[in-house]
Amino acid sequence: MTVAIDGTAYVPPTLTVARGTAVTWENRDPFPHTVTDAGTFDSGSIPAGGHFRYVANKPGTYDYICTLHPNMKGRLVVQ
Amino acid sequence: MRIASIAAAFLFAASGAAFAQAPNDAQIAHIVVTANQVDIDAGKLAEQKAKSAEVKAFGKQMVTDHSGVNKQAVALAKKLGVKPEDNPTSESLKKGGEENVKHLKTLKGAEFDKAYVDHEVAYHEQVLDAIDKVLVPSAKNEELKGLIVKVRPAFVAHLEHAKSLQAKLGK
Repeated sequence: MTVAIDGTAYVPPTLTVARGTAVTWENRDPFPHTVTDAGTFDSGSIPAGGHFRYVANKPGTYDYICTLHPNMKGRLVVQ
Repeated sequence: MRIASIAAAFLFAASGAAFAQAPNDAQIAHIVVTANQVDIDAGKLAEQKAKSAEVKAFGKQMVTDHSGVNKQAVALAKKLGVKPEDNPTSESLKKGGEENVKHLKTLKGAEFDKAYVDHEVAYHEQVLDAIDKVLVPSAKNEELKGLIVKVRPAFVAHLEHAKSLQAKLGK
């Protein structure tokens, strides 16, 4: 499953996946972003054209942001 | 004074005083590149001179983000065969940026941080205003317009970040 990072936004903003699914965030913007849920996952700086992969093993709802552009908000729901 | 000059640059464009008509795509491309370059130059200075680690990091991010936008803008202009064209708005922006850097170079420590951040707040407000009132409504080419629309949220994030720094420095 893929979430695009495009236009300083996560597309789709909410993604629901089954437990064990690998989720990849692809940064299509010309500058870095992060995918950060304090305490669960933190991509660190993803460069332009780069990606971050996370295997969602634990069910729950995770609200994440970009620490560089905190107006970017996303949600990962693991069932 | 410096903030006023940025405002004046965009107001000219908005009121049409500097343009007999709305800027064309070649002029818009030049305004975009110049606006980014002005903030890259100020950011580089902040990377070197800022006292606060947070202000330094913000300066570094401005260099990275605005350089990324410019790289894309230059590549798009090339692809579209648009040669960025100098115009009174970009000239004013450039002049305002140079004056800002000149002024910032005379400051040190907390004084530098405050002046830099205050300017970043005003600058991003003005750029967003210009995006909404001049650049997006005037851009004819859809890809050029798309690029401006796409980078707008990043500029909003920069403004919010600069405002939060401003509030911290004011304490």
